Amino acid sequence: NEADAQSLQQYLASMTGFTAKFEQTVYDEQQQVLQQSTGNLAIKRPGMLRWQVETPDEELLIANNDALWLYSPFLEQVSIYDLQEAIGQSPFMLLTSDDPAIWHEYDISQNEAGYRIVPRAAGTVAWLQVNLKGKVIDSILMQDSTGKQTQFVLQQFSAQAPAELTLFHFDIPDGVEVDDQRSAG
Amino acid sequence: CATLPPDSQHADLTPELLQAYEAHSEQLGQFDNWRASGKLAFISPEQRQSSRVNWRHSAAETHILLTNTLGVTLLEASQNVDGASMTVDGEHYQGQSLADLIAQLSGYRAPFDAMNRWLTGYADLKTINDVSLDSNGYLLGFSQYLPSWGMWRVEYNGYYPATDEQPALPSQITLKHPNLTLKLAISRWQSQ
Repeated sequence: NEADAQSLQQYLASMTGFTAKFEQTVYDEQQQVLQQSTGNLAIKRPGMLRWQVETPDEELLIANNDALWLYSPFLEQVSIYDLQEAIGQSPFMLLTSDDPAIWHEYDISQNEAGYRIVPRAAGTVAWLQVNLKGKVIDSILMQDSTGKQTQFVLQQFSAQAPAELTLFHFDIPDGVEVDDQRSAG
Repeated sequence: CATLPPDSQHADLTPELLQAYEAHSEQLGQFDNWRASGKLAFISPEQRQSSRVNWRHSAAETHILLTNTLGVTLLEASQNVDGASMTVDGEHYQGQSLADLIAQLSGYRAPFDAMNRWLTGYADLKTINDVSLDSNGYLLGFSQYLPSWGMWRVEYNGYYPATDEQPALPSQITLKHPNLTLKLAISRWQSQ
């Protein structure tokens, strides 16, 4: 279903990016709530993502063209990854990508609620469901390989990339450990 | 919920404080069927790692789930009277205890059985030293020697106030051992 993949990519390409507030809930196999967190996200296509967890504690993920930064104040550390690692870090990374090779790694089918995205290679993520209300992404559901589900409910969705590019740049606060995991170093 | 600011000076162990401590320990002794969610960090000289943690404990079983920021499962392990089992990256492991399995896999040796009590802010005064309490009689810090685990320093920097279902419970715990520090920030306690 190439057509479904193209339809999703056309929808994404119709926006320079998007911003939203998110509420994340992780459920176990018996649909018991395991964790809840809230924050905000910003995407600038292609390739730029800012994922700010605000509650219950702060965490920041920033992807720009050269790397992915994962900052944990709790750990007083920032880990830096190559971009290919990035896709595994967040389903939203896929939504920022316009690289056909990356999209080809996913089987996409359209359904009434939106789009079902299934990685062709087995991995930690079993599938993703992007739910649309008109032109707005109103939620994303992800199931991992152990059957646990994570729901991201998006609010205040604005279908445009933020103007300030500094949002996608990470300045390392002093006193923070740097854990550089990039292969080329 | 707001955490109690820790009483900065370590109150010396006055009789009243010991009594408050005994009362709190008594409540904690009955609080043995709970679920805690938050973040767990493993900090060693070589590396620092953290993940989200869901820790479920009852008299019969301890169940620990580590997930990443996205909620993807990193490790799931449980221990009951028959032994321990663990699943990581789709591989299943069996073992004597949770502590052995996690040490075998991650190299981190942590006394998970003792942690079941430490997490709630409970320690038996007779088995610990360098004890300090805050003004409510809650444990602020102590050292405990565990056979085969060595000397551990446990510190609490904040408690959630007691509610009618739960005693006052820690919001942040640091466990220090010569080459490993564990940091736990508990965002939510639930009694089961």
